[in-house]
Amino acid sequence: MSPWRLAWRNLQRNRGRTGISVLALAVSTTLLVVFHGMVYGLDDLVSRGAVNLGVGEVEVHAKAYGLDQSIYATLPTADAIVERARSRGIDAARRALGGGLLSSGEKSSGVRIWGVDPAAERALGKLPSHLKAGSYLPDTNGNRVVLGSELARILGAKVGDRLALIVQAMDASTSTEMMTVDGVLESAGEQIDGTVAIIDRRDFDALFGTDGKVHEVALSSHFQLPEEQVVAVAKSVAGDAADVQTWRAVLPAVANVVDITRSSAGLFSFVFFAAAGLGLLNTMLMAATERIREYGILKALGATPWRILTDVAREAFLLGSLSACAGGAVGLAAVFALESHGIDLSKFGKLSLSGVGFESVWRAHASADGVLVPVLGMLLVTVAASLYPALKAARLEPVKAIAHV
Amino acid sequence: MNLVKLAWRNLLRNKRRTAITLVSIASGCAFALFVIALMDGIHKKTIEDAARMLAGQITVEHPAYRDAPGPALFVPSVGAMQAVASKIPEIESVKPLVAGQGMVASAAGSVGVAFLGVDPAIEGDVSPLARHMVRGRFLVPADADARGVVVGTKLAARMHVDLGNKVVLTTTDVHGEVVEELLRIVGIFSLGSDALDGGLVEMPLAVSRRVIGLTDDEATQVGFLLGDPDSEEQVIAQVRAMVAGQPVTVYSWATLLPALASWEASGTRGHHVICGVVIFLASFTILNTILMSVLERKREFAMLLALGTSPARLRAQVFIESVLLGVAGCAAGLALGAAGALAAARHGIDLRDSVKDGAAPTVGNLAVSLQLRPILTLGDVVFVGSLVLILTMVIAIYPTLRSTRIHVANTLRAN
Amino acid sequence: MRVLFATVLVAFSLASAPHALGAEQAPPARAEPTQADLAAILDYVDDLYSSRSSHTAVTMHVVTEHATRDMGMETWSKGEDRFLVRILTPEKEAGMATLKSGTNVWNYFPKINQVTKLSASLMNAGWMGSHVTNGDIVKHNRMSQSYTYVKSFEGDREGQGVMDLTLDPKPNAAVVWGKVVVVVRRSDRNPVQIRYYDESKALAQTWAFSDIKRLGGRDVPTTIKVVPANKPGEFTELRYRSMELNVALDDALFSQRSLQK
Repeated sequence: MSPWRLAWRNLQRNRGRTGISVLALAVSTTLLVVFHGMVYGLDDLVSRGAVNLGVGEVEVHAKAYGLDQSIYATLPTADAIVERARSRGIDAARRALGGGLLSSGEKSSGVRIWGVDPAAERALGKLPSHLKAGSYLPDTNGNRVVLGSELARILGAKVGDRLALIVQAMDASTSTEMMTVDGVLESAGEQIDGTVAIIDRRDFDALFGTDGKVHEVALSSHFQLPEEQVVAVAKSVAGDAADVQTWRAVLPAVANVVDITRSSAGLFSFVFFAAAGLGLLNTMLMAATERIREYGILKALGATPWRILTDVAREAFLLGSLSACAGGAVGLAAVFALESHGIDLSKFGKLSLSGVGFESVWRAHASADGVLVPVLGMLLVTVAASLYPALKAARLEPVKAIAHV
Repeated sequence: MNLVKLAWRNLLRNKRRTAITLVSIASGCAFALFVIALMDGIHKKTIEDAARMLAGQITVEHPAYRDAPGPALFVPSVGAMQAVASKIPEIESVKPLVAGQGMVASAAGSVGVAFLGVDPAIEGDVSPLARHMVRGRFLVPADADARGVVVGTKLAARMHVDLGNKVVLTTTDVHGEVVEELLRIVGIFSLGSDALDGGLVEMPLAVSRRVIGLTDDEATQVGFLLGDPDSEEQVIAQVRAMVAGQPVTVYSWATLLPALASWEASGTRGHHVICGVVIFLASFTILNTILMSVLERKREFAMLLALGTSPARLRAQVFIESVLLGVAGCAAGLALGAAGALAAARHGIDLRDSVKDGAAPTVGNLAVSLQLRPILTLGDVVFVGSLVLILTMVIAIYPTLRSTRIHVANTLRAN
Repeated sequence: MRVLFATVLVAFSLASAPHALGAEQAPPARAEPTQADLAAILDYVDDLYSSRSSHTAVTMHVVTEHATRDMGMETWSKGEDRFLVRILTPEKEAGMATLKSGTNVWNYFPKINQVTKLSASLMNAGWMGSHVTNGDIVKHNRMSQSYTYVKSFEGDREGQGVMDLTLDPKPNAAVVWGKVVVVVRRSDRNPVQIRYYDESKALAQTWAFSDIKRLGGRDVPTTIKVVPANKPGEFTELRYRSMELNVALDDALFSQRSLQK
């Protein structure tokens, strides 16, 4: 009889015990798969917050821009970058950036002005749909502005209000325009909330005299491509004259949070495995103890220690793979369910970390390693847990074993 | 014989199995308790630092100030607020603050800032900012005459100033007039938050009052610092009752710093869930263990039943064995976790070196505390303990019921 | 863009020390100047273009790293508290005006017909894109009151008889400078140059006064060139085209309504 069939039949000898072990293992695996799914989902939540609500996966600026964000530090290769990116299926948006004063008569505030292409922004990320009131800029320009939530509050401005925008143009003259408030953004982190006013790039050009020049290109592959690849695409066009940064470099504090979450998840996983493994050890030991007489007889009949060891290991392997796969399958189903129907965190208020807001539904994220790691891990733990009793069984003295009660 | 003693003796019949189960539960509990205490510590420290540096856990302001901040909207009598505070023992100290927006200029440049006028006598002991000076020193009472001011590292860099240099503050006073004041830098701080290091300046309360035109009894905000932050809910109710009728509004820090509040609430929930799962897994081993032992003792149980023991009593015995395992493991785990938490609390876990400059996580412009000190509360212990107990009891149901589902005759006949 | 014109616009009309009204040229001092004499010189410089009221036409030429601009302006002042400047050229900014009344400043933008009030945290913004800041329009420090002063040089330099006054800020004066050197002509006390130093005594700004002409009944420098020390090539030059002093001006001229003329 094939050793595997033997192992299978041995497992079936004590249905109860096998059943319990399978249950314990499967439940642990399921929990681990779900746990990984939720942790990756949290990772997503935060990093997507950073990417979707403003920064993009990768940002490109002229090298001179970073220091004092001067309006003169424009990016000459912007158009080329956008074209190359789009040809590779990466969404790209050009942005002109400047500073100015927004006034509602009695109240005024210094603002950071983004001159954007509304269509490109809609393709790039979620910010255009992250509105508290009103709507985002339409595809034709007309001196409209979208305000950060805090900015709107400071100015006492509502959708439909007209505000005066006063800026210093590139030729150092003073430019003014009346803007109509089209929309107010939902909270997207302190940076955007308090200082950002978004206008159409054509209106920006008219105000600042930038004549189509821009300061930033934001790229996003919507997490389809690894970040390094997106960076490479941008670098291939921009060369060394520009700063190409992933969102992690632009927002190191957020990147840190993601890393910390990942490592604590790893730690938790380890603890889970240990807890499950310990339980299993119990079962294995019990089984070995029960069958001491049996092993003794086998050895007396000529079975080598190696044979006994491998027998036990095979049983453990079968047990483990069965349970882990079952548990993994259930876990995966749960993850899919949690992916489409996440946990709503909005009752905790507007969430933001390090100046970046993130959406409030926490969804799981199904991934290959989110399933494989728990399943294979459990399998490993099962086999490992079986080794101690296996070794004991293998080293038995046949006579003593047979006499064991 | 006492059921508990019997249960214990049964458990000890298979020492190894019992030991492994206990270890499993204990480590799960210990881990859960430690993590909860740690996260609690991080949250509470960050929030307490914020409260102490800014306007206390409870803040009193002019009713219209929140919607449209301005120098003319101030608390008319700090003295009255201090009287209120003196009647509430939980309030540890009162900090009057003058707050405003303005511009700070040096020969090399100027920057828009938010400024805070604080009482150096109180602030030096109370504010975390005083412990984050990197050059020079924090404000002392004598600075009121010397016009001392402390600024952040980023601000000093942008304006090309250092200790001893002067800067001119321009702001608006209570009458809406623009006023200027000379200040000298006596200290430079680094809080780890770009927003604060680049945009906050603190000066003596007396100086700020003079600049804005407030009297000794007036202040933009009056903050109450609580010795025990958990007493906030009860204290704020008392304060509100005592100031009813006066032209002020009383706020909790959660209203003034909503980002921090959301972070704390969601973080706490999240960790409770995760720890719950860990504990569940750890407790699950009880199922394994008890079921095994029940199966093992089929013959024994059959014998007992045949001899007249009531099934209920047998079930009770099994149930108690399970619960005992849970309790023992939990007790050990809680002790271990508590010990760990207290040790870490004394020593502190310092993560400051592992985080690069500028990359410290911030919530609502305030840097999250990187010096981790777990805070163990009775509530946490109770949470973990009761969770284990409940889970244990639930998990024990199946084996308990299973234990008496024996066909007595068949079992005894079999060999 | 930092302050380049601090005293210039301020000197237009803001202060009016009584003894400087209807300024005359004082006879050169022969004896060693006393503190009072020095104070008088500083006051003269502070009040160079002011009087009970004034009406001037000025052109401004600004050269920065990225742009060169010319602006034509008309100014009115009454006493110390009221000052109005309106831009005449170029066309893009024609009609823009700034009104100071008391310590409040309002800006008017004709294209959008909006009057905006200046808030304290925007004091560092350049006025109409120039190097003068709004803060300079609002507050004025009198040199004789904010500094202690000594004569540091007297003699001939480049064919002119000049006197240098070295000014040290008083301990609590709200000035950002560490030292100021005022160079005046011995003959008529007209300033030749004012140099501003930061606290480490490095030169931060230089103002050069030239082209003395008779305007408004006085001989005054009509060209002022302001040069920042740390931005090579950048400067701003103001030229007075005309000046009328002690003219009759209606208070209503200095109102928000009048801004929107």
